[in-house]
Amino acid sequence: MIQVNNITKIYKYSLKMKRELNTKETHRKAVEKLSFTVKDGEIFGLLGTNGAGKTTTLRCIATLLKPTEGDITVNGLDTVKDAAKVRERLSLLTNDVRLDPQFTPDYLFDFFGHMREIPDDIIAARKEELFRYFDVNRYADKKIEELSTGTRQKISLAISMIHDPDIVIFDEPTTGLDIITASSVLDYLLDLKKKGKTILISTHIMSEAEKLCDRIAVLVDGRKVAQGTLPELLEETEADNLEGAFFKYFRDNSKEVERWRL
Amino acid sequence: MEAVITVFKKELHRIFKDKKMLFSTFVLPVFIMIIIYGLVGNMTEKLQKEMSQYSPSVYIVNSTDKIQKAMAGPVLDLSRVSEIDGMAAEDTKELIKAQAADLLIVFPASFDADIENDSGMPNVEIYYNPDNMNSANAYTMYLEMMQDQVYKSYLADKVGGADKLDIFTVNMKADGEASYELSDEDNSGSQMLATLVPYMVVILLFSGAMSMGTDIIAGEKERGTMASLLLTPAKRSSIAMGKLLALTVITVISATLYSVTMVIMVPKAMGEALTGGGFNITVGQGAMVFAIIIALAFFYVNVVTLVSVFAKSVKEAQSYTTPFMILVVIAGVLTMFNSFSSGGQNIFLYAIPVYGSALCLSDIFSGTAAVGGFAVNVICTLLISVLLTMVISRVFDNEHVMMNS
Repeated sequence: MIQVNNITKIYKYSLKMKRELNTKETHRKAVEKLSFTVKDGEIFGLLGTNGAGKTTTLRCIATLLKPTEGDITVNGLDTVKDAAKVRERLSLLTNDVRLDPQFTPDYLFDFFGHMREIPDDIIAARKEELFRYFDVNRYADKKIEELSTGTRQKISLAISMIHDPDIVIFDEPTTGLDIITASSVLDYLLDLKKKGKTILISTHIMSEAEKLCDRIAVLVDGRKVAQGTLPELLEETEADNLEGAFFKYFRDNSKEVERWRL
Repeated sequence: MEAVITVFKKELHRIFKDKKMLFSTFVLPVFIMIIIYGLVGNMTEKLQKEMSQYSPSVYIVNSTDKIQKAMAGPVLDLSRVSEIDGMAAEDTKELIKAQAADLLIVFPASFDADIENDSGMPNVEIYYNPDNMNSANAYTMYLEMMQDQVYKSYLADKVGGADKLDIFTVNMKADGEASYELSDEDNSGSQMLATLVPYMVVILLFSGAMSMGTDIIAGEKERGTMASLLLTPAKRSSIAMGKLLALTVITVISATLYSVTMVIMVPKAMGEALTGGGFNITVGQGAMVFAIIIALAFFYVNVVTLVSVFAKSVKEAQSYTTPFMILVVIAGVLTMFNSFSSGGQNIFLYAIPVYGSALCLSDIFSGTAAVGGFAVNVICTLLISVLLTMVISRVFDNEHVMMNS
């Protein structure tokens, strides 16, 4: 179970960043007083536009960032105080977290297995199982830089699952993938759900959220503006589909609405 | 500890299993050094040969039999020496300016008489063109000849014979076998290499650490692969330590390769006579050199890592490390001047990172190394490096730095 309790994340701007962004602001609030719970065995979706705070939230849960305020627990473990133990239990896959292009999938699988202090025989068994599942055995000895984006994503997914984590966090799972690879990734997430894993994804693709998520939270400008099952969101907004519901939430809550002319 | 070893192995794997990386890191620089020093050596040899075979065109005004007799001898080739009258002197100066002639020597008309009668101090004028290498060389040779050979010839005439000029000798024993060189055979290295090698070692070590370190740290951040490492349960300090140790090993190997290449190639490039053709050091001295190189490499790797970790890209990291490269060059250059060298007297100088190491290396290669200075240098360099490692471990825990947030 993941519990996000009233977290706020503020990024302070350095002088260089202020220059680059051409702003006089000293900081940016990426996430503001955000709370939600991901129950065991469900797929929970964070829905929002770019800059809504989805990735920051996922990074805070995965211990890469520390919330400025509030706290997060993963299976009862605090993500700041027990960061290493949290990392043992979860997996984060995002387009920003990449594999070293100079190495082969085979080497990297072993490497990350050893980094997690997994015995060699278990690494070998997991490698066989996951490489077969994703059908990437034939690429095992090729360098990552020689592989297509879709194959890289499958290998990243296989490597991120090496320790058979209880909790899987996936930031934009299908962004940049062709339709076949995207479909196989979504199928894998549904398989994981069947195995009882707890899954948290962020997306801005409505069809993906509709297909996968048991419950959805809508983020606008770093704040949660709605949360519920798909039928609950549709009922509340009187929309026909998730896209319609999302636009309604966005229009009602975004400071950027004028700019977007919605 | 397993994480340290795993990261260490991965970084070594990155270099040693990748043919392109292996070639660009170790083979290509050595190959380039061999070609450059080989070319310089050939050109120097050719130039020296040409210079030794060249006979300068010299014009003399107011030459007399006595002057010709004084100038004659085995030292200089006088085959292109011509006598001219004073009227042609101005034309000859123009020829020298145009590099069509090399030298003009003007004796006063009353040169012989003035010396014989002690009537004044006659001045000989030698005109040359410093922009023309042959003219400049001819000037040096003829000036020396005038001040030594010609001067002594005239002086001998005045005192009544050349034998009267010899009043004492230096290092001239009758048996001719006596050797006055008292250096230890083990330390009979050339002073030039003892000066040059420490300077080059401190610079080559840094350039090795710089090229690898910026890629291993800032490159990982730029490629987005650092985050995948930070997502493992391994301690951030273990990740940092693994990288630092691997970088140290790679830096030491590359610097050793470059230094050995240099020690072999520099005498060829600069002429064996000039450099002494190499040097001999004992096993103990070799161990001291290796200890200094390891300590210095670890220090450099820490500096480069600490700087690189704040950069978002390799390019940015390289621009941050460039000022440190300048400091390293300055420290290396300072040890090339003997006046700055403590010669083992001021032990505190050995505690200064980089400068102290270069000083120590210089002492070892010139055979004046003291254990005290060596120990102070290695201990201080390692202590500062460990402090930097602790800072780096803290920085690896800083999300603003590691995630560029």
